[in-house]
Amino acid sequence: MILDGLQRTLTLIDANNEMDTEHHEKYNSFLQNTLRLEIYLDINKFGILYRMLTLNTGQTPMSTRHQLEMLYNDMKNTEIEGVKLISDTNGSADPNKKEFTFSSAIEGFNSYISRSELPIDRLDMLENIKTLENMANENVEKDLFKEYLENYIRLFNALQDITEDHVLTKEELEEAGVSESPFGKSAVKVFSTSQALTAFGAAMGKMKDWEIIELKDIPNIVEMLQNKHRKGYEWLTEMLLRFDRIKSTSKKIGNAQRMFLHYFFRELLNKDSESYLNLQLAVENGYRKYNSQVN
Amino acid sequence: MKIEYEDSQDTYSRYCFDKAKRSFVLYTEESSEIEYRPILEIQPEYEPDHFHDYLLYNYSEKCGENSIFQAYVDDVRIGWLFPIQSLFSKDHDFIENEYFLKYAYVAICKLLDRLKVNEKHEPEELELEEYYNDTTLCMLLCDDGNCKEIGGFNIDDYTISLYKYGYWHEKIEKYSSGEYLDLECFPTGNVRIHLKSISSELSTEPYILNLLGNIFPV
Repeated sequence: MILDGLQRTLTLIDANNEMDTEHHEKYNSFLQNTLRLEIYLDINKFGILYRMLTLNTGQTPMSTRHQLEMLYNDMKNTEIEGVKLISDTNGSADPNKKEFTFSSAIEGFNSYISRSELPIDRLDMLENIKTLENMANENVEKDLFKEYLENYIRLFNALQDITEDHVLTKEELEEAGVSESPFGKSAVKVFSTSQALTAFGAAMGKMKDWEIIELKDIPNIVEMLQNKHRKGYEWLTEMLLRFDRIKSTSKKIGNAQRMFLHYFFRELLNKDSESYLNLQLAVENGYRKYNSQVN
Repeated sequence: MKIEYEDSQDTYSRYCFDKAKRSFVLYTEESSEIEYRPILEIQPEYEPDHFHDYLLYNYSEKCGENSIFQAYVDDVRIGWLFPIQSLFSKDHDFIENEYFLKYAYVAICKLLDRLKVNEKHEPEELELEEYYNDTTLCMLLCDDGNCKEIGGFNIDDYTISLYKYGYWHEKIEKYSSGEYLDLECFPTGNVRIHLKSISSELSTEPYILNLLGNIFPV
């Protein structure tokens, strides 16, 4: 695989083919030119991504997200921790059958390495440079995408377990004052969205930079959450009420949902926060922080 | 519409909607193609030429992505009033509203018509939201046929009524902080928005016309 310099390589091949071999002197002189080649053996996908971004910084031909999609394309329709990654072209993913949309998983990972839950649509140089800075702090020997997703799925399973997989009925929604078209009627639905995956990615990326927690800490935290937290879904209806408020007031609903969830995860997973491992408080304080940012 | 790309030297000036692909295909004179795929399941039922669009700004915090209204004058629905952002998102309440989706098709045609840009690099696909990425931008899209029922719609007659809800014309963005507006009357929920014409006595008064035309034009 040629990571960089494909155009130059093809030009040299063309030049070689077109050169008049009768002029041996010129042709030999051409062949005498020095070529600098860097060959990487047995590097993983994250290593390839790091080099793709490094080598193409000056050209920025495509966004990080686009490169990620290409790089991890072979993970479409595969399973991680029992969750299947469904490509957009294969119809919509059904979270009840433990399916995530592949593009949402990629978006979430992109949020982890860019430390931002918001979609970065427009490619710019700054995006690449910031991403490179963040990646420099990662262990490029690991398959970071897999590590990110495995840990998110652990948390996803725990939230599903705490709510006992309850799907809120029309009556329950009405009683709680939640709208007829809520963000989701179950933990599975809410936490399989791109909003949740990107929010978790950004929250974890930031907390890693601030040396609060890392992805490798998630299994222990999830275990504590499952052991400590009582079963129930009150916190979920509280969350849905906040989502309703966001929907009625936001200029960009999707971005606002991401921001709220990002603060929710930071509250829930940060051991220094008063909402640590407390879903109800994480919802309340996460929303309060979100609200203070937008108003 | 005129979209120029320096690297490919392509100039796109016409488009059509491909129902099978559910995307707009833009063409150059030399027949190069680039696509724009709307995120919504828009319904290409109406003829865009039968509609008139007005771009307005609303800076009020109360006007969000979900502020999508059917605009009425008396009992006649003249069209829809909605934020441009609602055309580029599936997070609001109208993504399955077939009436809104018909208007959304017309609205996207109007936005493509308005596009006059020059870019360095030609992308693989057009991203229309990049050119209308202002969360305060709204569109009043009027059905000419329905407007005839009220004797024709002249937006200048509705300046005050639109201003009451915080809507301003794009040309006077610099005046539009919105901080002077008390928008308690701003509609919430999926409701109609009622617009009222200025009285005929005032509409012939030069002072009022000057005030509305130069200071508060919609």
